[in-house]
Amino acid sequence: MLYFNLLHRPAENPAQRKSFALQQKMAHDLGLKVTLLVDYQSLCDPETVAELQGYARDFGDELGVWFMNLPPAADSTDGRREPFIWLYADDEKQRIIKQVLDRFHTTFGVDPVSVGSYHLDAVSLQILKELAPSIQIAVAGCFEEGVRVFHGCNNSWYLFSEGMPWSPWYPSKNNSLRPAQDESDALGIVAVPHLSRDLVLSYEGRNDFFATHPANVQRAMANDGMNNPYMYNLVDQHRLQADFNDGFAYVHIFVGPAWMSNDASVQDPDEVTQGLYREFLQYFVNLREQGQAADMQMREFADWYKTNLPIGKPQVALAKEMLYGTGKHYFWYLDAFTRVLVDTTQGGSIGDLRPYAAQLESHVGANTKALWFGSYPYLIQSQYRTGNSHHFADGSRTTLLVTHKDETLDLANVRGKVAEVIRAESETTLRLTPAQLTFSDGTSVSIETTYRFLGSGKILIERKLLEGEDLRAQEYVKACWGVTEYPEDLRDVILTVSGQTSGEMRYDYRSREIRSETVSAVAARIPQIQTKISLETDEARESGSVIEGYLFSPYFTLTMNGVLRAGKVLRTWLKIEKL
Amino acid sequence: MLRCPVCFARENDVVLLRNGETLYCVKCSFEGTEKVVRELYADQQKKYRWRARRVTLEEQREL
Repeated sequence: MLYFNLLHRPAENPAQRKSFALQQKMAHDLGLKVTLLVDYQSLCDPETVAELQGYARDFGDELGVWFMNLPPAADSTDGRREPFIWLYADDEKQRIIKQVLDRFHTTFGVDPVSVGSYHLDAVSLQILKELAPSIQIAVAGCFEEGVRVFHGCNNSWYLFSEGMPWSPWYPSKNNSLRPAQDESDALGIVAVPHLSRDLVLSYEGRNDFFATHPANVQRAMANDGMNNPYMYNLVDQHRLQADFNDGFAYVHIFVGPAWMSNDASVQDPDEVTQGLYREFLQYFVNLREQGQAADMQMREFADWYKTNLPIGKPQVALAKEMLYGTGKHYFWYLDAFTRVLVDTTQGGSIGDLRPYAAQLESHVGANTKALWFGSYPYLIQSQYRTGNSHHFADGSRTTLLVTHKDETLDLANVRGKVAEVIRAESETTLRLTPAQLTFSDGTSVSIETTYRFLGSGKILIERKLLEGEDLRAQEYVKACWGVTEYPEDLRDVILTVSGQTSGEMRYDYRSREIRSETVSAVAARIPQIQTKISLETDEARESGSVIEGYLFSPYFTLTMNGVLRAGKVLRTWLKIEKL
Repeated sequence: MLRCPVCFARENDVVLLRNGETLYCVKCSFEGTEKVVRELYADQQKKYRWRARRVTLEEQREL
């Protein structure tokens, strides 16, 4: 079943009034449940307030708060102000949120249940809950919005909320983009992402090109006028996730009126833009009539979610590419300890890895260390940090390197797909299609990779040699830490080997290596993000190493080396722990 | 309003300015008529090979 929320924002100026009224009419004519998130400026406008009260009275629209067009800063003397709540200092957040909530209460006589912003950090959500315990649900972040949207908006869009869930979650008290581990860690609300993004193309490109908002698709020029099948393919990409998440799938639609007419990022005529929106909404109505979708207002969805999905339950997504025409697969896994992206087109390499286990405390704003960079840090981000090798050396990624005679092949150069996903109470199993590799002497091998996600930051990687002779095999993790596309300082990282000869070194960009025979663990401790990442084995592996990088290749590498025997499985733990 | 097709090709949104019949970009060295702009848009769209293809839920399951 697909659950969806439809949200509208009121007009921000007289020119948008017709567009807002049109959006509302489309939704109401179709009998869709609407939540209206209202900005402060609109709350101060009697005409808008009367209009909103009419929608609530006549159609039952839910009214909540959208944190935009905020009250002026207390110390502002020239009218300048941050446009968005997340960038204010904590004391200003407190003052603004109180002022907005007071205004909402004065206007409508109640406190809101639903609130939203493109990003609401943990401090903002704490303030909101303290001032209005009625709040149950928040639009709190934009999945994989950050570096590329910054670039795409002429380097002027300061929203960095990468590394977060793609679907609703229970935000943690110390970092709203991280799913809470348990009740004591949870903020006590449900968070939803702003729009539902393409789970392939938001990783590879701009998330604001490929989202469940027709104007985003138009912005990407992925439509031909009214011919816009990708928009429905994208909704169905999210519907597909019900197959892997106990029947649950979610889509978020949140549309302001600015897009509906004469928008700079839309090159279609207004009648096409408006026509696409109506058709888009009609699709959800069709699904609802077929019993395949349910529309809910935000309050209703929060109740449903809390009743049906416990804190800490892992989410997965199998995303298939449907615009460029490759059909490639990405697999996402997320729980309270890790978020992992498996890139099947690179032999099942991990393309993105976020260590939620570290429970990193972070929020953004003028008084914070992070300033703008709310994104949950990565250990691996193969798009920003090179990934598979081209140009110079490889960057952050994982792979399996197999050696026959003196020739080594890289599994990341073999395209595969997801063969099977199995969900169980304590484990998610991902099996990939076998990778066929052929050495220059004609020797061919077939290797099957299985990931077993066991929770608590433990991932068991299994490599099975289905066909071919025994091979030397190296489990390979090259990682770093970061929040953007640029490298961060790796000094203070400690690299360790536990084996016949154990050793450790402090990272200093000197290209050193520690190697040992009979190894049971290789690890990196990264104090900057309070994270330990390791490769471990239940039975000691033939050898292993930790490799320090250098300034032109600012990564560390962990390796485990052994023999992959015909018909046998080589098992290696990848573990993410809190330091 | 039209966006610069060259900047769009690198996923940046920059609105073109107009000088008579000529549109030009303040961010890069592109200039051209609306006809040229739309031709370049069409070229860009070629990368979306399946943009006219509906892939239903059932088809996605098999994909």
